[in-house]
Amino acid sequence: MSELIGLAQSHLLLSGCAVGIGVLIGLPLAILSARSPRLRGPALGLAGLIQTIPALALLALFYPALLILGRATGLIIPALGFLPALIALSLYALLPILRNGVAALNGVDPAVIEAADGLGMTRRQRLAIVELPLGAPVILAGIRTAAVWTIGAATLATTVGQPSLGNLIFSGLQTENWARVLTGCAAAAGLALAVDGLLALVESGLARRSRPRLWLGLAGLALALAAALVPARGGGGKTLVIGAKNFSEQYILASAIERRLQAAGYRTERRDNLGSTIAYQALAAGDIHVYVDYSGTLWSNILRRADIPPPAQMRAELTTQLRARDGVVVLGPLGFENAYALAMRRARAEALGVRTLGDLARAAPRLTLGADLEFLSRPEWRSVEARYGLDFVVQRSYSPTFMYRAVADGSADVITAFSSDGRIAALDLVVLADPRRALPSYDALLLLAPGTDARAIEALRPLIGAIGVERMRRANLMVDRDSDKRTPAEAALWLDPFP
Amino acid sequence: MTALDIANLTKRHGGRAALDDVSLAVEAGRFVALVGPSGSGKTTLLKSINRLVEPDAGTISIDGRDIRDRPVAELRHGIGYVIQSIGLFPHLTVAENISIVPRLIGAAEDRVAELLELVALPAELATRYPRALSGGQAQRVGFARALAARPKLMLMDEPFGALDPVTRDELGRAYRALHERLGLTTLMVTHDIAEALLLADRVVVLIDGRIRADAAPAGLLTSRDPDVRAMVDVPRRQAERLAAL
Repeated sequence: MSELIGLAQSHLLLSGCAVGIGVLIGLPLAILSARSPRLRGPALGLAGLIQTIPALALLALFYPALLILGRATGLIIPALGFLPALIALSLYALLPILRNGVAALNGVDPAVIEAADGLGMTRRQRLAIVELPLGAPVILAGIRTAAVWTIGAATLATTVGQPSLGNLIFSGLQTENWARVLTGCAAAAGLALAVDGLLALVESGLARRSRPRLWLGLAGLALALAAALVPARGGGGKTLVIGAKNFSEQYILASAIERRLQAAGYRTERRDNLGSTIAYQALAAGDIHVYVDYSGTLWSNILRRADIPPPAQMRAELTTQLRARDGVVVLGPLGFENAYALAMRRARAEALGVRTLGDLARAAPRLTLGADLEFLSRPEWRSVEARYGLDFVVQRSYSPTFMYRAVADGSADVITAFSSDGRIAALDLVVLADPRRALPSYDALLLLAPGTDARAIEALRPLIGAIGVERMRRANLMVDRDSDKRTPAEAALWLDPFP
Repeated sequence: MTALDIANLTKRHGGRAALDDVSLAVEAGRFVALVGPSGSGKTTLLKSINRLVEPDAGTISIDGRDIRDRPVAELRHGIGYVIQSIGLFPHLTVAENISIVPRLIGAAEDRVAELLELVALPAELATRYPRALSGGQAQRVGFARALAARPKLMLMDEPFGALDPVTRDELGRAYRALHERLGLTTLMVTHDIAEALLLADRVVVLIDGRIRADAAPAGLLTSRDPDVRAMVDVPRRQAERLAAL
């Protein structure tokens, strides 16, 4: 419950600021556009163009854009979290405010405008006394539209590390915790309806010149913003930000890390559902302070290496090179691997006589491959293709949850499973052997941002080498299975029963 | 004394001259009607006086002072302006509509009751909104609004054009009385020649952007210009036919 309130607060604050900025930019722009047809076309066109960019992509674009801007200007610009989400949502809010503003001002009766001019109103007086009051209901309708859109789109802010009600939706989808998804959706919808209702009150107050309605609506909005600003938790101590990518294992490990840091007296924040490269860059930039990544991912994505050294050598090189390159501390391996592994249902594999990737190459032309969203564009896949000559009849990409569904119901014969995944045992899958060593190792490594406190490091050190693959699989299964589901926090408590 | 002096005014729309070297002097206290067919330039001439239209050439002076010598808002505050579509502000009450110009110029006195009485409207209308008024009442409010800052010069563009014939006649005569009582100088554009002949003491006929006749109503009836004759003959023949019924 306190999680829901905290998320709703930051959701409301983000949306409120975005709509506020949308009004501050949109309304003056509407006033200028209403007067100048030469400005109107480009302004409406640009706002419309922004609107056609999917909100998710718009949000994601601002992370690298701000990162580059920060590097180019030498300023400290937070590229993750509130700022990119705010910019993207403000741009999103612009169109309805601008469009309705122009329509409102251009829709004022020409006779009224002529009278205003003829009586000797200056442009500013005409705007303040005649055009804005007469256009107010239409302008406000635009603000209402913007507010509802923005509160909806703010759920996506989660993906750039800004906590919002989207946290519930995204992590709920990932762990198939539908109650969590519904809670997130219902809370976001409730928030949108409430804000829309208050704005409707302001609108009718303006239209009917009813001061009670106007003040009631404005007071409600002010109260909502004030509620968003009340700090959810008190207490001092430094805040450490824990990152997680978008799958169950990451949520569980982030929860375990969070508990250990809190026990050491730190306040913590979570940035869940980060993209693979965003997570590392955010760590290097200090926007997050700790997260778990995998050696093979860092090897190919960050160091851009295509060779495949033995696991220990890969870890050693990563430790020295990431420190030299970005100041990132590789604290050590947690003790299990989450490697890509091609897996099949046991019955199907035995029927086809497939035990290794070499065997698979013979059968592949009759089989369908289900891959996760990034595997087919990764060097590991090229490496597997090159060493075994795999040639599937169909290749499909799924989000991880649906990939396992696909192999379970037979729509995929082979999937790119993850070796620590609890569903390997649960679905009775066999992992195919890789005798030619095409797939690199994916040791789970605990990564810390440059300059992390020694005390925080000591608080986390007990996790190193403490989590074997069997334990991780069981913890993952607790969250991923269909019945008797546990939350990631509960699984973390089981995985790392501390203190 | 010359209240309004228009000299050599020219205004082109595209290639066509809406006003072609028009000169006109109006003495204080006169009621001048500007008549002519559609597109003859009468509205352009009227709007040049309060600078809603900027002429291409020529000058206009009010009480001997060039209208371009002061800020346009200040100029307009001193001129009453009444239009056919009235243009009352729908979100303001009758009282607020009437006091708009005094409010703009920062005058403190409240003349709403006095002005309502002046245009023969009941005082209780002050708190109503324009949508609750009849057409005749709305235009009376329009007159009150135009008169609120005590202008000496009134510009009126088809002020009675949207009213039914009875209201039109009544309001026309009421305004003429106000014109006398307040010592106004009035310029009224109308396409209704009978209205011009009956209300004004001087009628200026504009055709194709030029002044074709400029005379007292009685004098206009004897004009030898065939176009002017055609115009004034219409109401005369109508009156004869009505009398013969």
